[in-house]
Amino acid sequence: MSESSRREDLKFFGRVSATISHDLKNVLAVINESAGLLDDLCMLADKGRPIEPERLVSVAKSILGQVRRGDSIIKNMNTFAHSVDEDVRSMDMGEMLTLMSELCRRPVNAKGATLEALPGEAHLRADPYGVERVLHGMILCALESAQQGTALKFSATTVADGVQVLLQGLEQEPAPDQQLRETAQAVGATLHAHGNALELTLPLRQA
Amino acid sequence: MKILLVDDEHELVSAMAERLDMRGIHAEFCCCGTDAIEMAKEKCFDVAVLDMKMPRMSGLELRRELSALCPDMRFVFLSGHGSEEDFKQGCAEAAFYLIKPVAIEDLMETLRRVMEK
Repeated sequence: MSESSRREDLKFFGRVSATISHDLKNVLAVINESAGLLDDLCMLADKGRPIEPERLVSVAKSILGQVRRGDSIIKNMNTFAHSVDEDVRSMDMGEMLTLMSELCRRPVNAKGATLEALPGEAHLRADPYGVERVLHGMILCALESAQQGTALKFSATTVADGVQVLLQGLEQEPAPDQQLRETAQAVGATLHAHGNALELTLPLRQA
Repeated sequence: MKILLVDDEHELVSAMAERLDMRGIHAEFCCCGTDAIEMAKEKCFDVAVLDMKMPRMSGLELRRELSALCPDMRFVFLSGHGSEEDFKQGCAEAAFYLIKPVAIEDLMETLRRVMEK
């Protein structure tokens, strides 16, 4: 791997990690504020102001909701971290698209856009980390032209010679850069722009 | 002191506003830059506490819009990142910068210092 490729590889890992850490910080911030609110309500109760049970239930629900949100973020982080465990393994591309959609939620939201991973059955053997890099690059490429209300849709289907991943709903014909094309080539895939969609074709089995 | 809290985390700003109210500080909140601008058109706030990273309009962009509407408004930035770059940008723009999660005592102290400046 060349020095520039190694650098891009690290950048990808760093970008995803930064997004995850930001999401976790927000979860902690809400829990911190909710716990502080409970503390404040108890202090007021000590001074004679009664606590409404519904108020406590509401704050407790908020904390439980944030714990579930944090758990989901950490599960995704764990899946992402373990994607470097094996050079090649069997993958459910539907699950992979869902994971990458979740990991990219922040940059997608920042544009006021949405990204939905459509259900579908498609399996292949490939380098999971390499595939994640390509999918992440495709999403960032699609976001370049995205605007408020852009509705991106990710899907994977089995085709004759592999698995075809489509990212549709782009605002204009995308122009994937050389770096993204090389990232696709590194996992034996081909990347094409078709109208307002990006199409990635991955071979069913990598060596 | 009238405070405007802006963060896309609704549960965060609603709880923060309630806790500031309990401490005698009138706080209102919203979850995006567009709503913040509308609220600032309706009434003047002394201080705006802005999340740095929000969808569509960042805290830095919102600060410029609000400053144009209310030149006397003062600003505190909130960030979940805590990165060096955010810190420099936040300080350059506002000089008051807090990293989430924020202790209410630190927020109160920062608001006091902002008003004294």
